[in-house]
Parts: sequence; structure tokens; C-alpha cells
Amino acid sequence: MAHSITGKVMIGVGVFLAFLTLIAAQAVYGITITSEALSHLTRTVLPQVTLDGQFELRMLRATADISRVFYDRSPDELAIAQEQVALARQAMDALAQIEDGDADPLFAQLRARRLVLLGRAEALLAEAALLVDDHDATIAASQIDALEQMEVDLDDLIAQHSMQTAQAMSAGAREAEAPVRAARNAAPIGFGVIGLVAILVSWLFHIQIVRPVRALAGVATAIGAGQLDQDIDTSGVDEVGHLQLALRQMVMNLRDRERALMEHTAQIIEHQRVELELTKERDIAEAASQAKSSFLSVISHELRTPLTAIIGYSQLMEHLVAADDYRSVATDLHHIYDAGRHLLTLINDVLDLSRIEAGRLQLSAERVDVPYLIHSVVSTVKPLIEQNGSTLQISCPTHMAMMYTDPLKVRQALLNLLGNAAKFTEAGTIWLSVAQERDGDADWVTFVVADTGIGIAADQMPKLFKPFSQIDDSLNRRYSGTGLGLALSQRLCHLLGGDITVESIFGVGSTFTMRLPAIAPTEPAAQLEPLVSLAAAPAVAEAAPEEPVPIVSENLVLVIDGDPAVGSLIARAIGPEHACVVHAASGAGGVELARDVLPELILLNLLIPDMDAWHVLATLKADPALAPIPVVMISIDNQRQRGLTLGVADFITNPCDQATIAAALRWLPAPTPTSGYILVVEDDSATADLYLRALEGEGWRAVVAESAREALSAITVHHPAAIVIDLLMPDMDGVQMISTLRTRPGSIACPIIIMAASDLSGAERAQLKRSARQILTNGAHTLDDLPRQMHSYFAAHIGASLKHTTEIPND
Amino acid sequence: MTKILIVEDDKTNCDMLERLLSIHGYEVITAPDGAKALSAARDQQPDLIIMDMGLPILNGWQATYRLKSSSATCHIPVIALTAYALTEDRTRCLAVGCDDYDTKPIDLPRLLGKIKTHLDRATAVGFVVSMPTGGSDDDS
Repeated sequence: MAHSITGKVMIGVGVFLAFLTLIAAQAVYGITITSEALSHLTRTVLPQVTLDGQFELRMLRATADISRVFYDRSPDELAIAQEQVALARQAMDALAQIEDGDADPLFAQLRARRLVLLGRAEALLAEAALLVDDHDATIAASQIDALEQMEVDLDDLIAQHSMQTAQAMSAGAREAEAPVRAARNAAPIGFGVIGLVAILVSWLFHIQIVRPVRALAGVATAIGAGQLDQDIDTSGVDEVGHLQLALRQMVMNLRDRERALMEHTAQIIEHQRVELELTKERDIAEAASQAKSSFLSVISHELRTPLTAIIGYSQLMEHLVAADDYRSVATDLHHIYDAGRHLLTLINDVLDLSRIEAGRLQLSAERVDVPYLIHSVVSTVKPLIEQNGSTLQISCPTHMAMMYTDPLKVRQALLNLLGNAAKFTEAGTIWLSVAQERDGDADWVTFVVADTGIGIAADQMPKLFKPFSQIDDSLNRRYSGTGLGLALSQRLCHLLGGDITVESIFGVGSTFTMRLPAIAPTEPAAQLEPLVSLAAAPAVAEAAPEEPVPIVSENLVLVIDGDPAVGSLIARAIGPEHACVVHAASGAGGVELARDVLPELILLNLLIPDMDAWHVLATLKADPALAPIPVVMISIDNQRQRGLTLGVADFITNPCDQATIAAALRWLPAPTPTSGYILVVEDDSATADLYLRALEGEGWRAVVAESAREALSAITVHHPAAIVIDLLMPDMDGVQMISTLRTRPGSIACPIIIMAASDLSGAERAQLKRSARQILTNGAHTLDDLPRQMHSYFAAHIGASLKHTTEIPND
Repeated sequence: MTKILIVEDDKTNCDMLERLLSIHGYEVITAPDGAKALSAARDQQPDLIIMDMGLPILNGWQATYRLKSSSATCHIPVIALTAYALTEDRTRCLAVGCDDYDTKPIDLPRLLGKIKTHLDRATAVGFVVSMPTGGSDDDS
């Protein structure tokens, strides 16, 4: 508290009070002194003066009375005189009491003179009494003199006494006045000091409290205005310091809250954004879903059309043949064949489209001689054109620069355009002209296909390139086609970096212009126009095959049980990674199936419908091919002894749970050393072929996956013994792929050998080291190295540790 | 006469393929499921197997794997013939040991070409060794 404001204020107030006390004390002291003096005056001086007056009055009267007694000799007068003297005596006695102990010599002297005067007055009174008693006596002259002398002395005494009293009064008054004056004189000084102290204290207050508090108030105002970046001086050590600290804490809290608020706001904005995106995505998904439905309905319709022909003509032929009418069989068969081919084209087109949509149709660019390409296309399409009585006119420069593009895709698109022209033009002319042009710094090749066909109505133009939009159903009947051709061609062109445009006059003819860059982009155009109607197709293609392909395990378990549910229950309990399960519902079927598949383990229920299980057991054990296969009996009661003598490997009691079944699985043979294949993940077919030959030359069975996707599906169906990976894959980064592979049951522990095309960075190398056993850098020498690496690896690891059970340590 | 085992659960398609191959001079035996395919391959030792993948009891992948795991049958070339027509379906078939892959509907010339290729190769190489470290002969 020594440094606190309270302390300072207390000190200030204390000093102030001390001064006040001092001054008050002085005043009190003065008042005390004054009052003492006044008290003295009242207690001593005033009674004394009063008594003196009484005494002197009595004495004056006594003198006058004695004088009258002297002359009248009246006893009444004497009595009065005596009374006055007695009263004087009383006053004298009272005065003696007051003045008792008073050492003032002046008063003592006066007292002595009063006593003398009183004695003389009594003596005279006695003489006067004698005169009254004795009428004959005469007044002596001495008596008259004594009386007159006494009167004179009395006057003198009174005068002296008056003077002395005045002096005493004056002295008393002075004595009483002195402290008051002193106090009066001290007061300005006191007030001055107080004033100074007050100024000092207020200055201290100003320095220590007011100024910092004012600063704090300013800060607080600024904070109130929202300026939270206030620098708060915290040099104060007392309450102001506490206040500053508290304010700073408050500002920090406010800042935190403001930050939290801003984050919260940001979160809200983010949420709104995400919500918006989700809504958008949902809309897209809904649109896709709707498009998928309409696509499915369209494709269903498209598939049914040729199927109708196939089924219909088949039925017709059945009747005709039954009736021995073979006249139209060849034609009818041709219709069936046509419909079948159409169906196949349709399916292939759909698959092509879905591949393009999924970004899985890869460009395979090479040098293309355009005139040669045109020649090959024309020879294919010419019969079709001539079939409709049309003629084809070609305009193509004989010498033109080679294109660098995917010839198959150019051919496919061109064939489609020419095929359409042929299809929709009867007895007309079709032109195909090729030209080369330069646009900026890029070379382009344009292929123009013009016809004098039926043309396209303006309102049909927008949906020309949409799938399944062949102009209308009436036309559909007349003109075969899947309705996917133009959509497919357009997307192929996009893939090649070009475009197809169309101009047409209904009833006059159409002109399709395909414009392609002379050099196809290495990366497919980033944003292909989304083909909503097929958006769901890749997902279908992706998901559908997953379902019917179970994991192929090394072992096969045959369950012979009357209840098929038991078979599937056991299959589930075993799990596909341990064994495949086949089920036979009868004893006979079980034995037959066992002979077919030669399982690794047989689970035989003691209760089977068609025959005695013991008989089944005997049959199994009698067949030399089946005898070595362990048989585990499932029974309600334990007939272990009998079973063991008959060659049962084990007994498990029904109903069997997971643990019991797991216990039965120990009869499965230990996992064999590598029986699998080496999965080579390499998109470049030439390189893949080199690996393949190198590995197969050394006796390995190798399977090439051209994409990460293929690799993942391969390991799904069967676990490879090792994986050789090219780090640069088109559909997935190699590093990413390895981490994905490491999450799949088929390749968790599988050794991965990385073929790195280039020098890896330290970080990449470190990351890969964690998941890959060996990193080889692509090059000529590694090809010889690969089988050697494999051999050394398997010699070192597979012989000793078993695959699927141990993580391969990294070198 | 060259013997081909057709493993196909669809009777019609099986009959159609059997007749088509017969016309082209092959002796054809058939199996309706994966289990029967194993015993037929073991007992009758065909020169080549055409294997459908979607089969009952044991599917084509399991059957092929067991064929290729057994020393009694591992030398017989297996051509997968399936309606699963995507590239990863091809890889899946190759992963379990199929020597080749073709799609339905049957393109007869193409299929015949593949059959011929594999028959020729098997004859040239003798037994195709598929298991370098051996050790998985489970036909005991």
C-alpha cells in the first residue's frame, strides 16, 4: 500500500490533518489559557472586587454611622453602625478566604490596611457605645480625629484599591487575550501551510492520478470508437497501474474477441460459401441425376430398338423354318446381324463418350501424313456414299506439312462427319476439302465436309452435338445411327485441341468444319465441355465391375452343410482375405465339389440331409486326391473320439461363432511363398513391354497396368507379389498412388520398387523411402537391374518371412 | 486334335461358341462353372481354356487363379472372355493369371487369332513357367 493512491491520499490527508490538528491545538491551548485567565478573573478577581466594594461600602457607612452615634448618641444609630461593622467584618472574612494563599504582596498589604481600618472602626464603635450607654460622657477630641483619620485612610484605601483592581483587571485581560492573539497571528501561517499542502497534494494527485487517468480515459474513448490498436502505458505502479493493466487486459480480451468474431464471421462466410457450393453441387448433382435418368431412359430405348429387330426376326425365322420356308432366311439373318452390329456400335460409342468424359481417353500423338489419312478415310466411306447415289469430291493439297496428332481420333471424327453426309444425302454431292492455315504462331488444319443433303433446321442446331439427339424420331426411322456420332466427334476434336462447327440451310445442305491444331496439345484441353447427360456414366463404369469381383484368396474352403445360410455365414466369418468359400448343400454334392476344386479345407456338418456324414467322411478319406485335405466336423455334440479315429482333423460345435471358425482355419496350409505376379504400373507401353520381357525372361509372371486405376483394380482382385511403379502416371501422381496402394489390403505389405524417371528431390526420396523398398532411376541399366533386384529381394525376404504378414523393411 | 475347354454358364452362348469353334476345327469340351472347370482342366488336359468371368460356385477369377496355382494345369493358356469391357477388367483378368483377354460380344476372327497365338506360343515354349519360386503346387 506504500505506493498506492490510497496510501498517498492517506499521507496527504494525514499531513493536512496534522496541520489542522496543530492549529486546532494551538487554538485550544489559547482558549484554555484565556479561559483560565477569565476563570481566574471570575473566581478570584471579581469576588474580590465585589467583596472589597462591600467591605469598603460597609466601612464608609460604618464611619458615617459612628460619626452620627458620636453626635446623637442614639442607640438605634449605634445598632446600625454595629451592623455595618459586622458586615464589613464578614466581607473581610470572605475576602480572607478568597485571598487565602494569594501571594500577591500588593493584596496582602491592602488586606493588612483593611484589617487595621476595621480594627480602628471597631474600636471607635466601642467608644461610641460607651457614649450611648453613658450619657454624661463627652466626646473626646481624639475620637473625632481618629474618626476623621479613619475616613481619610478609608478613602485612600479605596483609591489605592481601585487602582490596583484596575491594574489586576487589565493584567488578567491581557493574560486572557495573549493566546487568542497568538492564535490569531498563527492562523494565516497555518492557512498558508494548508494551502501549500493542498496545492502539493493536488499536484501530486494530478501527476499520479489525474494525468494517467485522463490518458486512460482517452484510450477508453478510442477503444469505444473501435480503435483496438491502442498502446497502453503500464508504467503506473499503484491503482492507476492496476487500472492500466486492467484496461490493457480488457483491450487484449477485446482484441481476442474481435479476432474470434472475425474468425467466426469468416467461418460464417465460409459456411455460406460452402453451403452455396453445396447447393450448386447439389443442383449439378440433381441435374446430373436427372440427366442420368434421361440418359438411361434414352439408352434403354436405343438398346431396345436393335434388340427388337433381333428378337423379332428370330421369332419370325423360327416360324418360317418350322414351316419349311427358307426363302427370306438369309435376308432376315442379315437384319439380325445388322441390328447386332448397331447395338455393338452403340455400346462402344457410349463407352468412348464415357471415357472422354472421365478423362480416361488418352491421346496417342504421332506424325500424321494428312493426304494418306484422307486417302484411307475416303476408301472406307466411299462405298457408303455411292450406295446413296452421291458423289464425293476431294480437295486436298498433295504436299502439306505433317500433323502431329492422334490419327485414330482424327480418322474417327472425319469418318463420322463423312458418314453423316453420306447418310443424309441422296443422289447429291459431298465435298471434302483440306486446308492448312496459320493463325498467329500456330498452324491449323481444317477439314470441311459439305453436302447437298437434307440440311438441318435452325431450331435443331443447338442440340446437334448433344448425345442421342438425332434430329427426330421420324428421321431416326429412316436414318440409322446411334445419335452419338456428332457428340463423340465434337469431344474427340476438343481432346485434340480443335473444334467442329456447322453451317446449314434446311433442305439445301450442311457444311461441317473440323479445325484442328497441326500439333495436338500434350495435355488434353483442361476444361472439356461437361456432357451432363453422361456425367454419371463413369461412376457407373467405375462402381459396377467392383461388385462382382471378389478378392481371390489363396485358399479355398468347402463347406458341406444342408443349410445354405451356414455357408454364407461361414464365408462371412472367414473373410475373403483368408479364403474363398464354396458351399455344398448335400453330402453327394460336397464330395463331387471337393473332387472338382480340391479345397484346402473341408468343413463338414454332421447333420446333412441326404446321407450320413460319417459316410461322406469315409468317401472323402477313401479318395487319394482328397484324403490329405483336413476335414473339420461341425456338430451339436462333441463326438471327438469317434471323429479322430476316422481321420477328422478337428471338431467344432454348432452354432459356431467367429472364434470357433477362426480356430478351424488353423488347418489351412501356411501361406505359400510368393505365388502371385509382379504388377508393373507403367503407362508407356514400350517401356512396360521392356519390363515385361525382362521379368518374364527371368521366369516371373508380370502384369502391366497402364494406369493407377488399373493397378488398383488388379490388386483388388488378387494380391501381387511385388509392384514396380513408374512415378509419372497420367491419372495419379506416383507418390499419391503409393500411399493409396499402402491402404489397400492387397498391397499393404507388398514390396514396391519405384522406377523414377528423373532425379528425385531429397524430400520426395525421403517420403518414398517410407513406403517403397527400392528406388531405381529409369535408364538402360535398370532394365537389367530389375530382375536382379527382384531375385535378391525375394531371396532375402520371401524365403524367410511370409508375404501379407510382415511389413517389408526399407533399405 | 486341339482341345479347347469353354467355361461358360450361359447355355446359349456356350452352345454358340462351341459350334463356332467346332466349325473351325477344334475339339470342344465345356464346363458350366468354375468348379467343374478345375476338374475338367485337370482330368482332360485341354490345350487352351476360354473362361467366362461371371461364373457360379467359383467365379472365373478364382478358377483361373487355382488353375494357374496348380502344376497340373498352370501350363494351359487361359483366355478370359467377358462382357466386362473396361481396361481395368483386362488388368483384373491378367492379375489372376489369365494369359489373354477378349470381350463379348464375340468378334470371331479376333478371338480365333488370339486362340491361335496362344496355342502356338504354348507349343513353342512348352510349359509356361508362371511361378518363379515354385512352392505352390497344391494338387497333392
